[in-house]
Amino acid sequence: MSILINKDTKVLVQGITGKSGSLQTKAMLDAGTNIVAGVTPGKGGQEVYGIPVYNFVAEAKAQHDFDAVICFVPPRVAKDSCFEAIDAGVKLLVLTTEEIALHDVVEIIAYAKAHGTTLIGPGCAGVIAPGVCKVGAHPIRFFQKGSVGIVSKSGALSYEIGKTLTDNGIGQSSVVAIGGGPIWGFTQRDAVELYEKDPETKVIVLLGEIGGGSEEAAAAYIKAHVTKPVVSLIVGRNAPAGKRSEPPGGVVSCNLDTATTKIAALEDAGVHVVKNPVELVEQVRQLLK
Amino acid sequence: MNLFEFEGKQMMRRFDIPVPQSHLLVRDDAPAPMDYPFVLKAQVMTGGRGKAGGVKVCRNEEEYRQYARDILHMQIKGHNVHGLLAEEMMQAEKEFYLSITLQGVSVPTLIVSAMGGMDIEQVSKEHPQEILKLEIDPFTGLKDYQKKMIARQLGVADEQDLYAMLDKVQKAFFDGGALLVEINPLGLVNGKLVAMDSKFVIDDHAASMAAVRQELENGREALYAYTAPEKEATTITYVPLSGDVAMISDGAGTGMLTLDLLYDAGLQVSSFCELGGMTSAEVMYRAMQLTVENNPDVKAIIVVLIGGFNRMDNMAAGLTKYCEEHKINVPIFCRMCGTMEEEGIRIMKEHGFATYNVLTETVEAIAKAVKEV
Repeated sequence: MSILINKDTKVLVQGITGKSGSLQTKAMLDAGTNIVAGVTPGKGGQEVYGIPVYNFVAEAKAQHDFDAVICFVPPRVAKDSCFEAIDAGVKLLVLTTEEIALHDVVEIIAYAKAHGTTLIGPGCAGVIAPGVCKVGAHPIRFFQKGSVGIVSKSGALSYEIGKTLTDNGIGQSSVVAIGGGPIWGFTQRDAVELYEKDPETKVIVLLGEIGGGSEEAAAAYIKAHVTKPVVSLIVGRNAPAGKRSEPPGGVVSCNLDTATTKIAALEDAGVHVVKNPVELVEQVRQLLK
Repeated sequence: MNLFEFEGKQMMRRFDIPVPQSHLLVRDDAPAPMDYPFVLKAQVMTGGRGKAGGVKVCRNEEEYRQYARDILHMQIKGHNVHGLLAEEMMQAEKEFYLSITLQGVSVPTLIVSAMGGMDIEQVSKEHPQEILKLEIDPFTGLKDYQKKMIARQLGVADEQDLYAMLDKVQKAFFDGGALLVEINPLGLVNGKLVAMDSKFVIDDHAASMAAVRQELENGREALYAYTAPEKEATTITYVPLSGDVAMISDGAGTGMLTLDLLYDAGLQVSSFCELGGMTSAEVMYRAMQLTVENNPDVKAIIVVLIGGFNRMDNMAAGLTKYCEEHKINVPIFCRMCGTMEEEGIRIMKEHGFATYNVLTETVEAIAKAVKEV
């Protein structure tokens, strides 16, 4: 099995007639994803790569079964689109849109949580189960089926490491990119929890970045609950300072802002922390033996 | 968008939050705007201005002239002072701290303390029991029991006045598309709460606040020595560093990974340029322009592209267009793979650019080339 999605996942695409939405719909179909319908207000009745388009999610729901939605709508309408998807009772909502007002993001996350919808994003590349299904933007050429579960904030970094593993003959059970933050519907910790339970996943790869405290939260979870081996690469060891927001002090933030503290927390949790993709491949290879 | 104190107070007035009477001054020779004594406060985008001498009480004409000149021409922690706020003197019986923030947290969080007027981080470290943190549900706002908890924490006599203040601050935070509303100190003056200082940060992506942001930008043009920070029309993040090689990437994560690999290979990086989400040939062109123009002495440029949403044909078109138009001599080491990579690589080849497929090999190649120069 994979996490979040599988061969039975039925998908609706919001913003299916847009530039990004239609291009990614084609790519998802090529990846074997079962897309049953699309929505773009005002474009009901059209077709995109043979997929019927509706004006509203509720209209699509009257005609089709689906349990996942991927959303490619512009930032200003993202909140309403997500509410519409959540009201349709979907289990999984992948929100790719970037630059959504943070108050809207807060509401989307709270609404999803209250209705039992798993929200990945915002601003994320989504999830792929190589060879099975993808609800996201991952180019399939970088991935192959296997037993490594990857979680990353950055989409591009998840492609990079997926590609490196694939180039070296190591496949993946699932690859999920959760978005660049600063607020997430689904965290690294959440992904690790699912991988721990997923029988197909033998090794977990946690890709982290400087900033925020989400890697520390994942480390704490790993220390307490995870039995599978975890390999981690934290990028930004040499990144320039600055470009960071200043919350009212260390009062609310975790204040753990450097690669060093993240690496220490992960190592303390028994995670194999590597420095680069070459080391990562070697470490994963060892652990798979 | 970070607001100056006077702008923050304009926002507070917009939401009926009581603030002291004040006047903005942008010249040091303006006539005294109100009766003495009053306070003169530096308008500057940093904290700690009091300690730096940026806040003074003026009791007469002589003091006012002196302080106005001094403060308007000072720099505080490297920031220019962009104006003076003359404000009525207020003697607070008590000073509290109140903020609602979305910075560094995942849920709107209210922070309150009876130890106002001090650095809140320090209070948090030294007197953690003096701080109350409450998460606010975006759909319900503060609940009554939470307000009662705040009243108890602050020990105020007039609870109704406090509740009214909390409602207004909440409204300013949510309706104002704010990432931070901070009032420190929140003064108790003649038994009523007054926002004596303000820090306000508006979300640049809050569509409902677009007109207000524009209004604020326009208002800033009158400020003394104010130069608007340069804004990229694109989503590009450009950070100048210093070194021999410049870097461009189509993702922050891969950019930071590349940076780490370059440093580990013994190279110094002259600039970090990330394309951001909305990529196109034009964005790539602009990234090349920023990188080349700002790094005239660089020995090589590494361009790391791995397309998901991002199309490699567009990247190749933007990159080659810039090089063609500007006759670039500096060697470019480009890793190109992902969405539409065949077409992208073809365009690159057509213009005489080889591309790499593996990131670590690209870094090895550029390291070798730079060391041979």
